[in-house]
Amino acid sequence: MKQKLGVFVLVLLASFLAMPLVGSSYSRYVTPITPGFWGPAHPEYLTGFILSFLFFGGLLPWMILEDGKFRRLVKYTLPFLVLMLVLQAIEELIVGLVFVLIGWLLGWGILKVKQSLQKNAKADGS
Amino acid sequence: MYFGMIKPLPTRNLINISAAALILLGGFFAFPPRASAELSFPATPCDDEQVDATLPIFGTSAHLVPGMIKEPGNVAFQYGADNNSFVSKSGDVITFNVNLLFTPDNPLAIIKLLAFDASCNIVFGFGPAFTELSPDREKVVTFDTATNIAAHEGNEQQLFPNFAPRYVWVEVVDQYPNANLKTYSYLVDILDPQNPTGQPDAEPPDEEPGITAPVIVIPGIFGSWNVGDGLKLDPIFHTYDNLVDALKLSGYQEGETLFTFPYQWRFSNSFTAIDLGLKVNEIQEVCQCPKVDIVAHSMGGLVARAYIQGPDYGDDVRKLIFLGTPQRGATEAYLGWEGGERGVSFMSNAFEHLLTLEAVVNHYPDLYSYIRGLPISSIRELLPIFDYLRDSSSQEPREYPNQYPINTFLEQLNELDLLSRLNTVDMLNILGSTETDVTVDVIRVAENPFENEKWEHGYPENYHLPFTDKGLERGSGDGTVPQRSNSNFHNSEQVVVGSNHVRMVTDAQKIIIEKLTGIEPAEEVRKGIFRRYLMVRIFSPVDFLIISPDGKKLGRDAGGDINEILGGFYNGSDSDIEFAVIPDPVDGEYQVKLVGTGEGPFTLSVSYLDDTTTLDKAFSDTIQPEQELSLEFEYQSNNENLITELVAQDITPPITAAIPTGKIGQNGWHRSKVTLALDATDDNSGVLQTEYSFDGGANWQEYSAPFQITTPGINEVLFFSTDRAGNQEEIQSIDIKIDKWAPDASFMFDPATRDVIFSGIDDQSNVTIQDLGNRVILTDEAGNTTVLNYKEKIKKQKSIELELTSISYNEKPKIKLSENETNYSWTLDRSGNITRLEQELEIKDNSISLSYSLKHNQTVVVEKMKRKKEKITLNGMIILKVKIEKGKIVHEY
Repeated sequence: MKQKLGVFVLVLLASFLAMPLVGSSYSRYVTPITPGFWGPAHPEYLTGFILSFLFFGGLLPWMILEDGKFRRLVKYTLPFLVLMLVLQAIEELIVGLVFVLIGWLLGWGILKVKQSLQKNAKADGS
Repeated sequence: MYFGMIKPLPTRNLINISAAALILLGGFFAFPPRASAELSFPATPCDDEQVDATLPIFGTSAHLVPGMIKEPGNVAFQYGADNNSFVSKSGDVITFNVNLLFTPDNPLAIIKLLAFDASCNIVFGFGPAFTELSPDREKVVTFDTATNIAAHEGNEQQLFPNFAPRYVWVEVVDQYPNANLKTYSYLVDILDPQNPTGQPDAEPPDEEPGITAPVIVIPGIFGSWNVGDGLKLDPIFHTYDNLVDALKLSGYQEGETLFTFPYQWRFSNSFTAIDLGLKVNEIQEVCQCPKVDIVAHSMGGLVARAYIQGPDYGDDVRKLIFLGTPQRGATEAYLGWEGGERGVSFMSNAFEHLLTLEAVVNHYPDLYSYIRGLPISSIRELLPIFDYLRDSSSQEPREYPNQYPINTFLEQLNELDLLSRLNTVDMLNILGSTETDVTVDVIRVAENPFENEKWEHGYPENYHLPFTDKGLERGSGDGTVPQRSNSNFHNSEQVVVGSNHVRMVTDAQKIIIEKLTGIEPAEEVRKGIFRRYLMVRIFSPVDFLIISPDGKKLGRDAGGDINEILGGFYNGSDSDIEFAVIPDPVDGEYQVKLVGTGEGPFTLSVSYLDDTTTLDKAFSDTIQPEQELSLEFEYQSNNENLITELVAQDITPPITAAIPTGKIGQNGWHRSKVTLALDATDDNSGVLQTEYSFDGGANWQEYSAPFQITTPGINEVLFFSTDRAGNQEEIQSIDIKIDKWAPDASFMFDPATRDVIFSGIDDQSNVTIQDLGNRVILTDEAGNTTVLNYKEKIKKQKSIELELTSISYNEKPKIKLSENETNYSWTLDRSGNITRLEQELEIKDNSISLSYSLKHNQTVVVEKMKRKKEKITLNGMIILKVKIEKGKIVHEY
């Protein structure tokens, strides 16, 4: 339980850290995000946070958790994806899905490499 | 003789602001002339003709640009210090000394000379190309009445050929060719040009810095919300909190000198302007002051303008600061007005859904119907009054107002006559500017592809297609208001801040407060919607403990996980991934103590996060199990760098090892000269220097390389090192004992034992003796040895004969001694006392003999050296001592 909470906080923190970079990159390369007449000082951070959360939500549970990886991945990413669908933020939805996929693939790859290294180490030990 | 001045402008007709405002606005008053109360200007017969003078050639105003605002000259230039040096005549030449009160550089200022004949018929004058003004302010224009040649800054031009001018006027045009340019004139009779009479305007007294008027903060559209107990200033995104707090920090007091004006932004700004007038009156009653200052964000600036430019204005606004006010509208408003859309991002869509919810609650099917049906007039009043639509088929821009939604409110507010009503207000126009051009400036429109009533004037091309520009062409601005809407606004001072439409409210706070009070605040208030965080993380087998400047701990202590920081989070030390978060960290020095739980490299990262900044600092090193390290960094919220680099904390002094090298003897002695190396090590910051002393600390020398000690005996060396953190080691000492030489041997007769006793002579240490019968081994404390070989020829009851044969020092080859013999003989009385003692040493041809007699208690010494013989008599028993010094036999007694 403590590990799951730790992973969730880690996903939150990593998203928080990556939020400015991801948000400003999205605003620069995909669609400019401006506050309009009223809004947060950095409206691009919201998009940045959601996309970062989707990325790390795909990456970290898969990489760190031992049980319930898939369930946790879905729990983290699905609400945001549904919300974007409901709000018809189609561009962000598409980019978000790509981020989840990349995060998950990266997590899967890192895990495979780690397992392979551990296997080799065991073989060397025996 | 006649001298003339332009007359005040005639009263203007009533101008409508909007359909609703038409009823409310009673009429506009003429802008009062700014002519000096002190100066009086001579009149000429052509004064009336000058005001509306028209050039016969062009059929336009004599000022060459139609629609200009004519103002009396003393607004733009001085008439000389004593009013007698502005115009003068010398012979046929009239000279105008025009000392401008403004800097003629934005965009251009020009100077002209025009003339009337005696019947007040106008003639041509200088053109703009000829007389563009350089930035310096003192100008001289001359006119030769004999040749009609005018000259300015070295340029000459003959004016009015075949024409006899009678009255000439010099005219300065500022901000040419802006639509709101201004002209200033002075008309003279060339037969008798005269200066004005009276004293020039006194300079208005400088305002004392400080709070001299109350200030009202007016938010923009969507910036006021009812949260249960009335309208509040943006309780959701807190756009104005930093500004309001900064004003309070500068001395403004809420309810006394600081007021906010949240308003119902769904209504027309003309209605809101009336409310603002009431608010100003209310404040005036509180402060008992003639005027107030206004800081207005976005559409709030239009509200303020509608009040000041409206009929009920009581000349009660001193300073007006615009923050991103769309003076000529904002293109983005088209999306809301025409399609009920707010934008294309997640955030925009979320807000759009909130407003749609409000529309549904109010029984409107969608947001579009709500905006149009309620109507939310303010959105219409934000529509631009410049060309901002482009037909997607022809790619040609449309010309406003053809095929545009009309914004009567802004059209009328920007009419020149109404703009002049702002002239009594000191205006500062603050513009935002984003790094890249992201402001919706032009909309490419096509026919509405949907069967609905929306997009009457065109649907933004591909608006709902992802990964297209959605028909929105971007340009410069603050992300919301295009720069062409609000730059160079009428008579206002302009400042551009690198910020977006919302963030500029916080970013411009210093500029605003300095404008209001004349004092630049030292501090800024920047409480973000997001809090400030410090995050410490490590992905290595290391546990850490953070100690904040106030001594509170977060992390893993010896007793387990600990969290003393309010709101702090530590994920625990169960895994190699450890991190801790400190919200709203206090300023000061933070210490991070590390304990290795395994061996290997580690990297500790410290990050600072807020809503605008992310900063990372990292420290890498290697660590051993159980090894303790201490790092420190400083956090200062008001420092540009916020967090310093992580540095290993150095609290332990360096350690210096003294390493002597030389021939090692026994008991810590060296049997040679010694080379002493001082090797200092430090755990963190490194060794700064090592010092040593030979004289008990009276004098210290800096150590740079190993040095030699040659002095025999015990040499005490003191030393210590200092590290770069200033930690100084306790003074250490080492005794370097040097004894390079083997002891010399000696022997003598012992009357008590009546035997020969061997002894050693060493100047550094004691000597031990081992007599093996025919060999004596002498060893000093350092281990130096001397071996003396001898023959004990005869050892009888009352005599001893001894011959030394050779000697060897420190196992070196034997040294053969000179031929020698030592004899001792004695007699005893009955009591066993020596009554006679004969001692004799023969070395080759030399000898020495000592004869003792108890009876006389004297010793006769006879020394024979070659042919010399010396005899002396000494009292008492004198003992002969035979020594071997470096292989040579000597004696003493």
